[in-house]
This record gives sequence, C-alpha cells and structure tokens, in this order.
Amino acid sequence: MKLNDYKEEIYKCSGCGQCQGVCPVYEALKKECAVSRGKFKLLNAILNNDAKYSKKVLEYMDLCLHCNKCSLFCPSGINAQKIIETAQFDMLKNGIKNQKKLFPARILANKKLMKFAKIFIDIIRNFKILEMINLFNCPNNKLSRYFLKIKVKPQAEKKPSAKTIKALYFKGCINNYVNPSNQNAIKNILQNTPAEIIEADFNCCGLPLKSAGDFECFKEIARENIKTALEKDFDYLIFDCASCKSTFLSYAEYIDGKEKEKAEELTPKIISIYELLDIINYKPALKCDKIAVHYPCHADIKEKSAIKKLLSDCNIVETEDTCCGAAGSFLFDNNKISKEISSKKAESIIRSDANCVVTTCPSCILGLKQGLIKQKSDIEVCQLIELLN
Amino acid sequence: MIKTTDKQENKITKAFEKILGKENILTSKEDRIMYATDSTAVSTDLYLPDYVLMPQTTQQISEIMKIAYKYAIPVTTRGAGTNMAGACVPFKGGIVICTNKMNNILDFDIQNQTIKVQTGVIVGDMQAFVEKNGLFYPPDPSNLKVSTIGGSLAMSSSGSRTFKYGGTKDYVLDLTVVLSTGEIIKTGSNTIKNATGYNLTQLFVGSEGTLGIITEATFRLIPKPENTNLLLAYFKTVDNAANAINSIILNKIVPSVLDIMDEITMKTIEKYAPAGLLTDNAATLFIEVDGDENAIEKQIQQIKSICRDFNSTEIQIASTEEEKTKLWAARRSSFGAVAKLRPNVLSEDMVVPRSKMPMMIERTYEIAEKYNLNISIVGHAGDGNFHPHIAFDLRDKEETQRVNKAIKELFLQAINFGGKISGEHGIGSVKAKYLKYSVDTFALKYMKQIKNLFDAKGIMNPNKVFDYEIE
Ligand SMILES: Cc1cc2nc3c(=O)[nH]c(=O)nc-3n(C[C@H](O)[C@H](O)[C@H](O)COP(=O)(O)OP(=O)(O)OC[C@H]3O[C@@H](n4cnc5c(N)ncnc54)[C@H](O)[C@@H]3O)c2cc1C
Ligand code: SF4
Ligand code: SF4
Repeated sequence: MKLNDYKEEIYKCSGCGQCQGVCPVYEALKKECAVSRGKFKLLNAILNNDAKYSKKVLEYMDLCLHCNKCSLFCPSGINAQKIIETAQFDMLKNGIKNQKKLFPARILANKKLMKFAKIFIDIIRNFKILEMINLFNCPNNKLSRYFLKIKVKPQAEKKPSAKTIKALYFKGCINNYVNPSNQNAIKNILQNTPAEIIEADFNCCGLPLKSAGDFECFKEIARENIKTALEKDFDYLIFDCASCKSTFLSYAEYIDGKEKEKAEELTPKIISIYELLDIINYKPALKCDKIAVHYPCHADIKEKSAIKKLLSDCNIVETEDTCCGAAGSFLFDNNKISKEISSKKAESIIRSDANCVVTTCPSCILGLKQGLIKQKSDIEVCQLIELLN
Repeated sequence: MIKTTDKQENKITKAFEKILGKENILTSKEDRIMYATDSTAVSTDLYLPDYVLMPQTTQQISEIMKIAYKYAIPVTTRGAGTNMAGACVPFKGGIVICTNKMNNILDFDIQNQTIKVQTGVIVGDMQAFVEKNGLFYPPDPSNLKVSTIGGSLAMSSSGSRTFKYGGTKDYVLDLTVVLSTGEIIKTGSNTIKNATGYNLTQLFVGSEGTLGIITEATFRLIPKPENTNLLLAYFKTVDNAANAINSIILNKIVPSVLDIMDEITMKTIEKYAPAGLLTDNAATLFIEVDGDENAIEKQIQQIKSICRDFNSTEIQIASTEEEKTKLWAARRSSFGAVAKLRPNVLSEDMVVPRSKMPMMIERTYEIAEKYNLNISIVGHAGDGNFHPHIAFDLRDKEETQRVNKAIKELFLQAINFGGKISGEHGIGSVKAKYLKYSVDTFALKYMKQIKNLFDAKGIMNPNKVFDYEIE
C-alpha cells in the first residue's frame, strides 16, 4: 500500500469544500490542514513533487479523528481515512514518525508486555492516562441518583435457559487492562439467555496502529487475531466497543491471500453485543427518562438500529450527531482541539436536558466526560451495556 | 511572490505577528499549498501565497492592509474557498486573508428584523439562527452549509429560492469595508430604506474582493413562511417542461423554487446517491411552494394540473419531512454527483431570458456533442439561469482545449440570446477573458476606472474580473 495507489482518488477532490461542513476538527480549528480537502491538496502536491513529506505533513495528517464523517458527505466519494493512514504509513517507511502516537499504540499491541503490570503502570504514568482511568468508570455513587428516575419493570422469574448460541467475546484493552466493568455486565446479562460466552486470548484490535499508519504491525495483529478467533468454535464474534468492531471488519481490506479469505470468513460473524441482544430477543427491564445516546463515529447502521430497539421503552432525547472529540490518542496528542470538540458535543447534550448519556465505546466515554466536565455539567456518562445490566 | 528584500520581509512578518499573534499566521509551504486553490479546476500549476493570515476583527484587517499597501503586496480574500470561478486563487502570491475566524453574529434586531454579522459567518448558520427566531433569510446557494456571507456577497450569490425571494444583493443593507489603503468605510445604513448618496453597498456586492474586504454586513430579514412542500414533475421533452414553467408563471403562481434538472444529471445522481428520481424522463422540474396549508394545497393543485396539461409523465409530491430533505439533498448534490464521473468538473452559469431557456438547453446539447464532452444541466428555470456541468480531466490537454472551445461557444450563444455569462457564480479568473463580450464597452471602461479608484496600486485580488495576463 502506498500513497501513489490513491493518486487518482486524491486528484478527484474537486475542492468543493463540503467536508468543511462536517469535520469536527475543522469546526474547532478553522484551518484547511484540519479537513480532508486541505489534506488532499497537500498530498496531491506531494504526489506531483511540488512538496515533500515532512514532520509538518505528518502533524497535519495526525490532525484527524478518523471519524469518517467527511467521506460520508464527500460528493466525490473519497475515502479520507484510508488515504490519511496510507500517507502516515508512507512517512513511517521514510522515517518520519510521531513517537507520541506510535509508541503507546505498539505497547498496547504487545500482549505480553501489557500483561506485565508494572510496565503498564509506568506507561500510563508517562502518558498521563492514570488520571483518566477513573473517567472510564461509571460513577456508581452518582449514578444511583439517576437510577431513581429509572423504573425497573417487575421481572418474570428467570429460568436458566439452554445455551444454543456460542458468542466469542472480544474484550478489548479497556476490559483487559483498565476496568472490566463492561465484561462483568455482559456476563451478567447473558447469564440467563441462550447465548454462551466463549473467551479467547486476543490481542489489541490494532486501531491505534492503523490510525498511526503503522500498517506492518497492524497487519500482524490482524492476522494474529483472526487466527485466535478461528481456533474457536463460535456462531458470533461479539464486541462491546464499536471501534474495535469496525477495526475487525476492516481486516480484510488490509491483508492479502489466504489470510484475506479467512478475514472474509470471519466478517459475517462480527456483531456488537447489542446486535446479539437483538438476535436473542432480549428485552431489557428498563424504562428511563430523558436519556441521550451518543453513537460512536464507528458505530454502523446495524448496531445503531439494535440499540434503538433495545431502548424503545426509553425516552430518548435528541442531541447533535457530532464526534465526542476523543478518538483514542487524539485526546492526548491534540488535547486543546479535542477539548473544544468535546465541549461542543457536551453543549448539545446539556441543551437536550438529558439525565444521562450512554455510548458504546470507552474512548467516547472519555470524550463525553471531558466535554461535560469542561461545561461544568454533572450529567452522567455511562456504557450502555452497564445501564442495561 | 512578494518583491521585497529579506530585511523588509522580516519586518513585514514581525508586523503581522504583532497584529494577529503567531498562531494566526501561516507561512509553512505545507499550509500555503492548501490555500492556493478553490473549488475551480483552474490550472494544474500551483500559485502559492506568501502568507495566510487569519484575522478576527475589522481593525486587524485595516492594519494588515496598511502594510500591504505600503509594500504593494497583493491581497486575496478568502472565505470558504468554494467559489466556482477561480476567484480566490492567489495568482500573484502575496497575502491570503482568510475570514474563517470572523464568525460572530454581532447584532440581531428582532424588532426591526435585521441582523449584523461578521463576514466569515457561514450562510447556513446565519439562516438557521434567524429561522430559530421565526425569521427568514432566503438566499440559498446550494453549498450554504459551508460558504461564507463574505463570499456570497462578493460573488453576488443566489440560489433556488431566488426566483421568488431574490438573491444576496436583495437583502443587504449595510457593509463595513476595508479598502486597499486600510481605510474603513461604512456603505449604507441599518434602515430598510436608504436613498442617501450613491449606493456603494451594491457596488461591493459582486466585486469579488477586487475593491475591498467586506468585514461586516447587515441584512434585512423577512417573516418565515409557515410551511413548504416540494413537488417533482417529470417530462419526456425539455420543451414540455419549459412550457409548463411558462404557464405556471403566466398563471401568476409564484413557487419559491422553480428548478430544472436534466436526464443525465438525474441518472448520475441515481447512480451514486439514489433518491428515487425517475430517470427515464428528459427533464424534471423541482418546484417548492410555501405559505400556509391552504395556500400550499391550492398551489400544488394548480401546478399539478398545469404540468398534466403539458404531458407530465409523473408527479411526485414529498409527503414527509424526511422525503423533502432527501429530495433536496438530491437536488443540492447535482454538482457532487457529476464530480464522480470524471476527475474535474466546471460548473458554468449562464443566464438567458426565460423564454430562451429551451433553445439554450438544446444548443448546449449540440455543443456537447460537437466537442464530444460530458455535459449535464441543472438550472434555476424560473430565472433563466442554468448550470451546464462539464465533467473532464484538466490534465488531458486536448480535452481541456475542447472544453474551452465549448465554453466559448456556450457563452457566445447565451449572449446572442440576450443573456449574460454569469448569473450567480461570478467572473473570477476563469471567465475574465469573456467579460468584454458580455458587458457594454463603455460600461467596462467605467468599471475599470472604479477599480483604479479603489485600488490604485492594483493589489486587491489581482487577475480577477478583468482580463489580465497571468504571469
Ligand atoms: C458545490 C457548490 C455549489 C454551489 N452552489 C451555488 C449556488 O447554488 N448559487 C451560487 O450563487 N453559488 C454557488 N456556488 C458558488 C458560490 O459562488 C460560492 O459557493 C460562494 O458564494 C462563495 O463563498 P465562499 O465563502 O466559499 O467564498 P470564496 O470562494 O472564499 O471567495 C469567493 C470570492 O469572494 C471574495 N471574498 C470572500 N470573502 C470576502 C470578503 N469578506 N470581502 C471581500 N471579498 C471576499 C474572494 O476574494 C473571492 O473572490 C457553489 C459552489 C459549490 C462548490
Ligand atoms: S467533500 Fe470531498 S471532494 Fe469536496 S473538498 Fe472535501 S474531500 Fe474534496
Ligand atoms: S475523518 Fe473526521 S476528523 Fe478526519 S478529516 Fe474527515 S471529518 Fe475531519
């Protein structure tokens, strides 16, 4: 994969500027370097030898949430994410790299290392994640206030049901290394359903590597995860995080040959926990007032419609469908811009008068909390799966 | 490029830093590349500015202009950079002044129904803001979600609703403008009427950044129509569609939108972003009506019966808000859809007397065939304003030559029919060489004198509007 493969696609950017209207980074920064149009003009110049790869070019490529919003709106249908990643990859090969982004991504992708607790703690100290960890938790004490507003329907006596569906569970780094609350919730919810959870020793999904353009390592991880999955016997591969799921779905695009076939074999089985709950016809004993749902940029239509169904008894308030501003390491690398985007999202949540906002990606939890804290709001942020629990 | 010594350049940079702060000055090559183009397929060459400046106030722009004037540095103003005429390409380098950070609403007077904004405000944002307050700013260029108030003033933009409600020029009351010398002038007044002295406000509308930099603008607003509905009428021939349009107008029905879209455009949209258009017709009319429920119903019935009289094959009426939004999105995506066909698209913009529309469309197809080009048409049929979208590859020199020949023929044809070469996209750099065919010789002489009066040093957006050789 090299940038030159995308030469025609990049040239096809007509400069119409439609992407400016949807790009959260542009909204915050008001500069061309933020948005795909500017990025493409720059890459086009590089492909025409009017400019060269540089630290600055990398800095500008990194100024992206990989939210894919621009591509959805781009009249020329240009896949910004892939082009930006490929440019980063090209630069990495040429020795131009952003260690701040690459280093943690590679560490995360190293299972053995990650399990080595001490090193882990050191790293998160280094990257100031430690203060952030508590942001991942649902504030149970505060949440209790909110739960008063939730009416729990009287539940029929639960009967342990026969297990007929095998669900291989990809836990992801947060469950594995930071806070297993999602994992616990899922196990609890599925206890009395036909779905049985199977675990496997997966690696990180690889998204941090992919969005740093480190395709070599990413492909390795992809192959490893595919292998780990296919060693098991299962009906579905389930995810509690929309971003991890979308990354698994992208594997087939990045690897070739026999392994690509394997990835494609896996693809139809990849679903979110919410889709699984829909499949097993799970009815949550939940009826709550004024809840906002933040769909991660990586959530697909299937996941969204499953969530809507699950929450059909709840009063969902409308918020603007904008990015939370976190986007993994973007939150650390470009904190000022990230805060601004989060803050805008928070404004829309506050305006909606929601009691609580739920989402399905741990990174979004950070973004949402960051924004609400900045706006001095005490609206709760929670993983949907924990709310369902 | 600026012709200054290193020492002077240092001094200039320092001065800009003092006015704007470092973070609002972009000088890296990477940044300058990104501000070298707009939405127009002008050239495969790059014309880099030396500085990209991002001011936030009128005062800052005035300070910048004093320096630019002193050293005779070319200045190109840029809003969203989405014009279709190559109007903000900095052919001579120098400074690009970007208004994107000038995006404050300064005053909203609900009682007098006026609004005052900085000119970097996005048209769609201002529109949404006033609509939330029950008022209406009708001008709706189809890229209103991104284009700026400054750009729409400087290009005299309009849109689909112009047929009933007029364009940008019909709503502007007052402008604050920074001239090439750095002087700040106010051109009009907050009042709805004003017959006091020359109408300088309108002089700056459509001036394409060649006379001064508009920093603030006051607009009048109107009450928001209670409701709207959308009707699509399909026809097997362009003639039938054109006759239906005439009949609607002669029957004193005034739809808020009366647009036409041809078969190739419909097919292209359906191919890339299906919206349910019936593509086996030669043309469809996009007709929006507004008013209270009764008025809407009455207009729809009248329009339906007229369209049937002219053998409309099918009439679609949007029944839900969702459907309306979807059909509008399809209409507004026509340029984008065509952009998928070939690497580049030029959107031309002739306007002819309404009665000449069908003939002009027919001639356009003939010219497309003659030069073997891919041309599709959308237009504001009610205004006689239509956009042939020419899809091509600028890198293919031979094809580009054919495109240029075709455009010249199209222009001469429009002029022959008593029309003009631009209805709403302006002249910019790409049409400058045709201006002399489309403007009265003596009027042109006075236009040039006006330009010299406001811009003695020729630093304001060089190479635009008038026919200069590009170095
Ligand atoms: C997809 C698409 C659809 C479009 N549809 C329509 C349409 O339906 N109707 C229509 O009329 N036009 C349409 N346009 C073109 C239209 O001219 C521009 O979209 C818009 O008016 C320009 O706004 P901008 O902020 O992008 O200006 P820019 O492109 O940044 O600038 C345009 C010109 O204005 C000057 N300028 C900008 N700001 C100022 C200022 N503050 N003071 C002085 N001069 C200034 C610039 O120097 C330049 O000459 C369309 C364009 C695109 C890409
Ligand atoms: S929307 Fe697509 S074609 Fe238009 S400027 Fe952005 S990237 Fe380019
Ligand atoms: S992917 Fe998102 S952040 Fe990146 S350029 Fe596109 S819209 Fe902007």
